[in-house]
Amino acid sequence: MQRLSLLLFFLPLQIFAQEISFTEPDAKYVRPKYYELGAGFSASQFRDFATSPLIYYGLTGQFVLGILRKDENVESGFLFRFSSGVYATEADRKEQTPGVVNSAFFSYSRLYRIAGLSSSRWNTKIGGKIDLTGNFRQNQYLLNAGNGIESFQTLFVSAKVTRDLSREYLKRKKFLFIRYKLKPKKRELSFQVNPAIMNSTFRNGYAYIDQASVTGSGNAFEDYRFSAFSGFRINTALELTRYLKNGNGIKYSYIWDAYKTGGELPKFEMSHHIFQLSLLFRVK
Amino acid sequence: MMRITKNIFVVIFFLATCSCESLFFEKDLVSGNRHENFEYLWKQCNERYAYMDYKQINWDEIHDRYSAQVNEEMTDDSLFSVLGKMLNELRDGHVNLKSYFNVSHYNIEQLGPDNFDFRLITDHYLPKDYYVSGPFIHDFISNNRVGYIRLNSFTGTVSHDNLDFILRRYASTQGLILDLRENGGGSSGDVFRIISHFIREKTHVYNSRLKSGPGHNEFTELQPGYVSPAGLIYLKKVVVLTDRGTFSAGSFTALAMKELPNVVVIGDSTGGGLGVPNGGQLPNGWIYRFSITQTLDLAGNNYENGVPPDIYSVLKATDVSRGVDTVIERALEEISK
Repeated sequence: MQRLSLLLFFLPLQIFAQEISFTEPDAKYVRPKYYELGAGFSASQFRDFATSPLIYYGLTGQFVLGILRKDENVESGFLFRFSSGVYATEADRKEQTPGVVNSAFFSYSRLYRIAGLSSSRWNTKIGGKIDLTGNFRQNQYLLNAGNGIESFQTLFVSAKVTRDLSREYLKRKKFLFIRYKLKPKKRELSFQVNPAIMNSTFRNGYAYIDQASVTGSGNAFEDYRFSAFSGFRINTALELTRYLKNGNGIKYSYIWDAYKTGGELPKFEMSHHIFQLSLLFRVK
Repeated sequence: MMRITKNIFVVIFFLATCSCESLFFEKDLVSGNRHENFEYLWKQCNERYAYMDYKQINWDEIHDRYSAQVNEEMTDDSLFSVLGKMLNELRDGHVNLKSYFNVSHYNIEQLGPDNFDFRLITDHYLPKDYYVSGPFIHDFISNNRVGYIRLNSFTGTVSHDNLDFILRRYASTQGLILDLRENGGGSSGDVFRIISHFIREKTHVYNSRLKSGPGHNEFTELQPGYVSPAGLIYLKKVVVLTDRGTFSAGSFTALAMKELPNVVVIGDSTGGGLGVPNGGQLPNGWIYRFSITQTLDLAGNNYENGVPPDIYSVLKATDVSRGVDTVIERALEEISK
């Protein structure tokens, strides 16, 4: 029985060990590098049970900066995302208590091609992603509990499937009496899913507010708690990328990110549905 | 293998387009249901209010008494009235319920006699051209023997420059009167800025603790409240005047200054308010707040019901009628000792 358990534990590792093909870059080869500059908007929502049972909904602006290195075999990247917007509840119009939420996300991801699940048109990669997210929420209607700050540190396992949609040759078409040409294009559609394998949070304690104002300690995080292996997070990204002749690219993305805290304290939960346009600048 | 890959892609594409947090999150609890709102507020107070045991409040009995008054046909105004009355059972000026049409409140100053008449002071004690430095009204009284400083609210605008000017002006006096009667509180930052001018060294003035769990007596460890000296220091006798209208930051000031050797508190007990109030929301969007901290003096006494004066003194009608502020006269007597 013990042998069987060990076999079941090591079998997947063995399979991956066989199927993951790491391309040893030659000395002169450098993976293409891109600077990503993007903007968009997000339909977001959050709820902090410590202060309200209501969900706050908001339309937020998004701004993204990133550095990507990618080729068929490996891709990695740093990404910084900032979002800001006004959120309100669906309570009676006369009882609206809108607040502002600013969020910052830092992430690093690294993915490797799995040869066994890839072909000339399909590319499957797996890897991991680390994300640090911080929220700063302000809602004057909530009085002394009007400021909320929380941080999430998440380690994800990542899987990405990319379909090459490139048109390699010139195509001549005709619609009714109109003749037109479809020029060669390089483009790809990808979907990446990142479920958390470890999530930690740094967030207010039970009382939610601090007592620094009356102790003079100046430490607003006195009652904050760090909870390791707590909560849940998942994010996905559906991306269509078109590459231009000069190597630069335009990326259209739909990103979904959802997370919630765990443990015994009142939960915090938040999600973003992000629609984003990014410019990829190939660095020579 | 390609077929499997395509199928996986189709499945995850489907998941992507259906990505929905409702799989992980609870539904929105927005509700105008009268009972739900009542129960929510009652539970929040039960688990978070800091003085339930100290004030010996039977919150379960209060639940039964007020829940019987709630029905689904009642108007918003009626529900607000019931909830506001229930909150006033906490007997705390830091407890409020707020909607677009009303704010419930507990009138702490009415627990004691009216003990302050500013017109009496301007007519019979202060010169017509009294000084105004920031939020402070001040000038010499009693033949320039004493400096009188009036602060009617902790506006958050107290500056060390204000205090340096005031204390330099009264440096040669026998003592100061800091009049906090009918001061309803405000910014606790002002408390520290004021006290910092009346101490020689970093001073431990009280202790504070936060609610840490749903039990009525679940609190964090006591955290010390320290004040460090700043600016011009005044170490002669200081009399702090208080009454039942001295609340929150006013009570913190009285509690802290009672620990200083050169300070005497004269007047009536303060209105309390030594807990820091939170803020929260009901399912119908109304906002509530109540205290979730306790502040104790260095001996461990809890003065949430009012910081007692060292010397009790209230205005006498006979004194007022002849232009005398009984409490200021008692303070002048104390400074003369």
